[in-house]
Amino acid sequence: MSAIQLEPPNEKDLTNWIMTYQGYPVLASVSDGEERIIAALRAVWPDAPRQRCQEHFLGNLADEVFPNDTELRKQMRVDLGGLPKIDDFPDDSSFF
Amino acid sequence: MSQTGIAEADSTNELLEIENQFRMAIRDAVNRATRKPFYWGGLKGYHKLESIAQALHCMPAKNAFFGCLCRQVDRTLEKNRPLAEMIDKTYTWFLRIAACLRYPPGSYVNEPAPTSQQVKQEMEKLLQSLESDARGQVILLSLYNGLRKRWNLFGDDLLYCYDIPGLPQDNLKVESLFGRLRCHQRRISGRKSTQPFRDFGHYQILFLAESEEQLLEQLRDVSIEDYQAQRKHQFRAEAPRKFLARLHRDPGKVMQLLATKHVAHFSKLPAHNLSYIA
Repeated sequence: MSAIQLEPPNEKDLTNWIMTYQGYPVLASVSDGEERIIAALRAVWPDAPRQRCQEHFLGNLADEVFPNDTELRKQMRVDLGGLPKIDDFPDDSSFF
Repeated sequence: MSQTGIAEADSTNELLEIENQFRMAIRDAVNRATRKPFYWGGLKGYHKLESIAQALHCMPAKNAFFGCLCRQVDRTLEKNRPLAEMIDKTYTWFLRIAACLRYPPGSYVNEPAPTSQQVKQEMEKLLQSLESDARGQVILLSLYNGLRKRWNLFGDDLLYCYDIPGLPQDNLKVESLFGRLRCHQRRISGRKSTQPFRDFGHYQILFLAESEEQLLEQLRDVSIEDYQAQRKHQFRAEAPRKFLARLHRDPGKVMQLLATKHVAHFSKLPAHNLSYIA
């Protein structure tokens, strides 16, 4: 088990770090879609399949629609602004 | 104060509390954050608002506060329905895409594992159906274009896991491991969330003890009365968060219960004591 924290990550540093483990028989790797990570994995283990994370894939795909989803939420907030207040509540400011 | 007077005061307080919870539920519905990939905050909020509307329709018609609230919620739902329906349809397609990948894997443990070839064929078929269904529908078309582009670029890189035993479909376990390691760098409590501090305040109690017995002795120094007072304080502080947690699990049931509770308390009040009504 090994880990490294790079701020900011760059391909060269990543490759140098992974290179230490080049001798291990790697069947496959899994990562998100970060190009620098994929490039480093390709450089060190060119023949090992690189599985792309499906959670990240679906997250990025959902990003295509999130502006519309956010628009829905914002519009509902606008439409529900200025709801009636309950007199006895100390927080008697605007509803939202 | 007489027993009847106390009961009426309690009921009035309960009614105010329930009305506050309705406000809280509505505020929560329009502030749902999105969590990628499956939790779409706007759409979830819309469905939650539908449950709230159903509960509001069960409230006594003569209550001006609820009447007004009900009309506004109904208007909001009606106005945003076309957009919500479009997003809902897109979300259904999104779930079909995830199902094609058998994702999340936990939902498919009892099903036979597909091969990469099988998933590839299914996704190609799905893309064809999605393309024809998305014609003229802007939001669904965005999803289709996004999927087509990504599938062409690196679709094959998503499929190794079906042919290589033990290769995970995602890197969440690795990321959560690093997340757990990082959380100790965040703050002294080691917790990611600061919610308990917002509820109870930020306290730190340090005990110095060489044995369990010594530690217990120090804990026992706290009087029962103080302990119980703090427990009550904790219960009150946690109540809003617990209510929201229940609401997120089952908005329909929670709002219906709230409506029923309100009707029950309302019926206990004599007609002359309705001053809390807006």
